[in-house]
Amino acid sequence: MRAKARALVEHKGFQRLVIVLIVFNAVTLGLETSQRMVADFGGVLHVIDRVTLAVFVAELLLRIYGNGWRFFTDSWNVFDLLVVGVALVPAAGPLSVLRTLRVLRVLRLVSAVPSMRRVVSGLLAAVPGMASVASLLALVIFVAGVMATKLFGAIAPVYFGDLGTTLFTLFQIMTGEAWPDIARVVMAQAPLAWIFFVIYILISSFAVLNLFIAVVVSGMEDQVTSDLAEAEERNAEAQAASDALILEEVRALRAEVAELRASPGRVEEGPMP
Amino acid sequence: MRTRDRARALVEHTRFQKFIIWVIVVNAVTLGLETSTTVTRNFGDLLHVADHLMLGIFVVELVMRLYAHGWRFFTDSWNVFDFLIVGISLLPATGPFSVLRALRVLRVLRLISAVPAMRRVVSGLLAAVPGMASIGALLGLIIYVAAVMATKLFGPISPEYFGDLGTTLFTLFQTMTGEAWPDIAREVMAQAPLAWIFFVIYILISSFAVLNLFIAVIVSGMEKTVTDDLVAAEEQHAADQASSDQLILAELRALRHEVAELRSRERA
Repeated sequence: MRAKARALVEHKGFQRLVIVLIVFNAVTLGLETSQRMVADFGGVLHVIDRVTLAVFVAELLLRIYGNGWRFFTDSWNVFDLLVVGVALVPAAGPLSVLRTLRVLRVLRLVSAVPSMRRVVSGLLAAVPGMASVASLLALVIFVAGVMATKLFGAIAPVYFGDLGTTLFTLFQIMTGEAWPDIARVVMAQAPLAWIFFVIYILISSFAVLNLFIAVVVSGMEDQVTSDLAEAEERNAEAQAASDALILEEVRALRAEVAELRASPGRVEEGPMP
Repeated sequence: MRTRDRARALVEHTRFQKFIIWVIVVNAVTLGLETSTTVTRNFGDLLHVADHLMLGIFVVELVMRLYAHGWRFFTDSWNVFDFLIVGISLLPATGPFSVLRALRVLRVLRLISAVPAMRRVVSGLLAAVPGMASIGALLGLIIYVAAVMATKLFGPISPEYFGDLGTTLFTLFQTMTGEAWPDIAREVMAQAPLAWIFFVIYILISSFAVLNLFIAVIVSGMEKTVTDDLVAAEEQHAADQASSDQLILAELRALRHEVAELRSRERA
């Protein structure tokens, strides 16, 4: 029974059907954003949404039944479960934001299409290399945030009123967007504030640049290094092979000489006296 | 002498270092809480006491490290970094020095020197600086020359942006980052229509220099990681090569010895 369920969910036709359903669901969710469409076909769209959700739930249950507990060892399966599960939570009252999260279901396309899966896995592989620089950047922003709240909180409460506001302002400055407006407002009352802004911009953009570099280098490293290392390996192998040949030749030569010394020596020593 | 060794053993103990990291993190939280006026009103005294207590811990730790290492303490630049950061908190922050109170939060940066992984990241980032230094200096020179020129040319037209050298330097830094530079340029060009020549040339040159700064950093970062791997592989192969060469050489020597013996016997 279990094996049959697994065979069904792993069947190519079944998986293709799921992909088609995801795309179809994406279209209906897109149509739901249009007021005119909802006014005219709201009922139909709602029914279609419910039906596709039911199919997804059934598919997920089949997969859980087919794989048992091992289902949860694959992080893609957990991803599917969460994305579909969001739609099942009652989206009333304070949880109405969850209704919007229903569209996350379209992201199941990532886990359903193998080539998309590979792309996302590749992107995620670069994350560990960024983690250390990212935590350093967070530390720098936090320190600058506390400092700026203390220094400029009274001067420009719109931008530096409390720590949360300041952190948002500093994130904006890091992206470089409209930072002179903020800086000039502060500098009107604290003329030396340029020191803070210039140093913060230099350090944060340097850190961001290094984040990018970490990603580029990790992507590059795999490519370039593996190519070069392969070439190097091949050269070394060729060298080793030719060395082995030379060694063999020299050994043979030495054996020949040794024989020469042994045999003609006796011949020479024989008749000479 | 024995107490000195004991002090060093203590400050280098993993538990002790972990404790210090925790104190830094807790201090970061309390310093963050101090920015909120409601929290300060209700728990101001408590936060103040906690802050002083943690500063006390940092000072004791620093003094112990100083005692343990003696003058060699100052040979490690990370130690000097810790010393300066804790020292700032000890300066009396009254009157004109009240800005130093805000600098107390720099203490959180001790996390960098306390966590080895962070230390490595920062050392890596700083390793890229020498490669940037020459282009950075060139950029500084360009901005300075442009600032003197712009102050002379546009000072009377828009004193808000080009009134004195300091203001102009700030404006040119802003122009270099590309932020809202057309506003400034249009204001100046309203009265000096040919000012576009200055702005366009300055932006081209400065962004070219900045681009080269980026490239210097990227190349140095790249070089290090990629080259290190390759050099390691190359060294491994060189060692293999040397050992096989040694074998061949030994064989050749034996062969030559054999031939020499053969010849000497022949002569005899």
